[in-house]
Amino acid sequence: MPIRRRCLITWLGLAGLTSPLLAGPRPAGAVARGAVRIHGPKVARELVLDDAALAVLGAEDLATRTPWTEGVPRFGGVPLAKVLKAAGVAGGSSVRAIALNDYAVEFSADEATAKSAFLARTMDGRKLTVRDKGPFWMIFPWSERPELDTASVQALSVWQLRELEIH
Amino acid sequence: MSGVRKAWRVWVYGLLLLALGALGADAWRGAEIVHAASNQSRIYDAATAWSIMQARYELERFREALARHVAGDPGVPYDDVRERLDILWSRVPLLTKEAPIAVEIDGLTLAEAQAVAEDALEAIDPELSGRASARGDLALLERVTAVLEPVRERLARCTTGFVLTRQRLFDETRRTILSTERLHNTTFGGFLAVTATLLALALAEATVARRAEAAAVASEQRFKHFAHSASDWLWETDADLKLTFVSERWRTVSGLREADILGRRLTEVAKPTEEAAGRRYAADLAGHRPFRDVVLTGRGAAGEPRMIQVSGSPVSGPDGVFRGYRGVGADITDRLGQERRIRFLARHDSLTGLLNRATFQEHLTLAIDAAARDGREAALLLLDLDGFKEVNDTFGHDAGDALLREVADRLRGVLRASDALARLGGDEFAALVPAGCEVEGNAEQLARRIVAVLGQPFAIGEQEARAGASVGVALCPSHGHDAEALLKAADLALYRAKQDGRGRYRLFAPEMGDELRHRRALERELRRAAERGQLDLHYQPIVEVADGRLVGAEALLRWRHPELGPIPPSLFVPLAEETGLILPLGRWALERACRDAAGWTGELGGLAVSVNLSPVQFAHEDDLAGEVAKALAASGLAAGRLVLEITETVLMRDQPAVMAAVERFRALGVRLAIDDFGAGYSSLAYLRRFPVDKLKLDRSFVRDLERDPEDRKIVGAMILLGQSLGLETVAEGVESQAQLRCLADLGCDQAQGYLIGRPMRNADFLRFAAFHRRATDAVRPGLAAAVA
Repeated sequence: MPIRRRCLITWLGLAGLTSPLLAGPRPAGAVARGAVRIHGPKVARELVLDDAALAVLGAEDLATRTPWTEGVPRFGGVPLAKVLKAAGVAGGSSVRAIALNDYAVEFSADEATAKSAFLARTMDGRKLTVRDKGPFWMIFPWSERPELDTASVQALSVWQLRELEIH
Repeated sequence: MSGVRKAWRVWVYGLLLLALGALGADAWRGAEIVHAASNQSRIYDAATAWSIMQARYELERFREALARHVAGDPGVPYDDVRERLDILWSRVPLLTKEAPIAVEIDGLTLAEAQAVAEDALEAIDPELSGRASARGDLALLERVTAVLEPVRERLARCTTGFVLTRQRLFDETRRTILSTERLHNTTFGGFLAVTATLLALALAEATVARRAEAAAVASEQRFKHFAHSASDWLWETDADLKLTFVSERWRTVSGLREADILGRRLTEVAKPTEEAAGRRYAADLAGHRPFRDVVLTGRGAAGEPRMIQVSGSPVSGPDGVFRGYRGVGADITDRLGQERRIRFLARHDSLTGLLNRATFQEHLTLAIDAAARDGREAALLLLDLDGFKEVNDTFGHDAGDALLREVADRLRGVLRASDALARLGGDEFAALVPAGCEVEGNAEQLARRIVAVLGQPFAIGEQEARAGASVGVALCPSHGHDAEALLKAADLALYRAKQDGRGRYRLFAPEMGDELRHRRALERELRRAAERGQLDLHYQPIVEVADGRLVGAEALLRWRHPELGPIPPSLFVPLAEETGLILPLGRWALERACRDAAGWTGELGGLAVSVNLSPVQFAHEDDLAGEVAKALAASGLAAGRLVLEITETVLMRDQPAVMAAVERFRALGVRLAIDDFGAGYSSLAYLRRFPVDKLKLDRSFVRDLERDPEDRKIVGAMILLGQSLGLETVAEGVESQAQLRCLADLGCDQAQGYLIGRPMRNADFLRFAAFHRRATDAVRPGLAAAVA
């Protein structure tokens, strides 16, 4: 297992060099529409999560019901933990998730990781638009872990996500 | 004993029966409390209010983004507007999905509000999604605002509905708890001694009641937290209408401290803005009736007026006694300010703040009607800047805009408050002096003042520029009975002022129309002259003063009209320059002159041809040097035989484009002559900067050469100047032997004029040249001797 892990890290690092994943210092506001900017004093590498970055990180699936949708849609996206790791966010950090309409909610990175927070980009194969809570929507595996179906976890389900500010 | 025991039993059973009944009632009430309490936690869930408020908030943000985009705010690109629309779209389904309680007010439910919102968005969506910009589209903004208005209104009512529903349910629950406690206390007091079970049950019930109240308080806190963060605010008064609570939002917006607001009467803090609505509002307050969307004017921390929109409903205690008001409010100062600004923009020119064309037209129509009614005159002044284009070209568009603003300020300074002042577009302004006594004298005086103030130099950065203005004046009703006729008359007068040399004003006269018609006809004719072969080039010979040898000829444009005969260049060249016809004419003349000169072969092989270039060609021909190169290539004429004559004014403008063109002429090997040297404002600086070969002395100096010693001194100085800079000098307009001798004495190199030869057709010139050559060969020694 250690070998495979090293391979993955190397691959991620190489991919990062030639992909938009590693954004480097970019002025605030320069991020294109349809992307989430991960920045703040506690990130080692500022990054921009867009479709290209998602492809590099490896898109995953999550089938779950949500309080806002019908049935059990299949979401495509990436676990928050993976994104924070790619940005080099240390444990014990605090995350401020900011939406397009300036709605903001703050939570601990460890807590969100423990609750398997997931950044969804597609729903049933279709890309989420601003009109249906896209381009990125933070959801939780409510079907698999019903104990997460609480008001406080729902408050963390930021949609139309624009920035993750790490403190 | 048994009777006593029986009686006791009856009492005990009776009491137990009563106790059971009370217990049953208590249990029933308890179940109700639990139900109400659980309902409560849902009711007070801030989600309901949150979803309504967020929808209102996103609606306003979308509308604001669109308004700012339309108004030209560079910080709001159209993509932002579309994003706001998308966010608003995403909020609408949440109205019912996120709101756990069914808000209902006067038959309006959230589901209905949602349906109205969906319909409205469907209606405007195609128009908004299918475009890339909406800058200046006030009509769109109005349409969108109109379509969204019912949505705004429904959501506002839902907010009020929510506050009312929430308050009703809260009061109901509290009443239930209180009355249950009373009932319970009676029961408990009466049967404490009878049964311990009852006590235990009662204690359990008291716990339930306490929990329910704690839950209510917790929700209340959550609600307060929400109230502080929402974009609208909540407020409460006591029975004297003194404010007992306002959410933080009001203080944030107004900058007021809590102490400034709390304890003051609602009616002192803000007063109704409109009279009729104010009376209704006062009556509602006096009658303890609800009121909705009343606009009040209050003051912010800095004393600035703030417009707020409030709705409220009376709150009664459990006893039905009026306890005060509770309601919502919103600060609409910014929104109103923006609306005012948009209304202003629609009626005014955004650059200068003067009236725009449409508004001015309204004023004009009104003034004409007033003039007709009172039998008195009104005056219309049209003006435009003479040098605006130059300022724009030389200093850039920002300087041009600054100049227009400065012009507007100066005009405001000379006009009276009753006069209407507008910018009609570009550098065109208009002023209207409404009907009054002695308008004609006033209007002329005003026109004079306008010409004077705009004739003063303008500071542009650290430099100065002169713009100057021409003014046309027309009077109503003498010069026109309607706006169109009056504008046309003023325009003709303005045109005349420009014709007469700019920087002046002209009062309309009926013959101005005829003149213009004549010029228009001439322009039409000139347009067709080239196609119809009415244009020709004539050549006027240029000779060496010292030995009379022919060195070249100046090409001169001629127009022979089939009916009018020859039309003098002094008449049609300015017309061609004004209308832009000079560009095709100039190209034609250049090509033709090169082609003709290329035909001067044999003995005439060394003769140069001079072609005049108009300042307009420098300013508007895209690639003047390219045209010259093309004419040379097409004709095969050696570049050294072409002389381009340029007037001083072209070089004086000092534009990089002129410099570049002159350098390319040099690179081609073409020679350059300064035409009419000494006639304009001569600045010797440009002679150093521009690589010129010849100076052509203006004919006005040559005319009186032999009589006027001053002219002789000037010509002598110009020739010396030419010699010291290594330039050839050519005298124009030489008509007598005396003049020629004089020029020879002063050392002038070449001469041109009727004495040597009039301008003539190419064929005639060829004959002239051949003859002249033979003649000078024969007489050269003699002429040289005479000159010496």
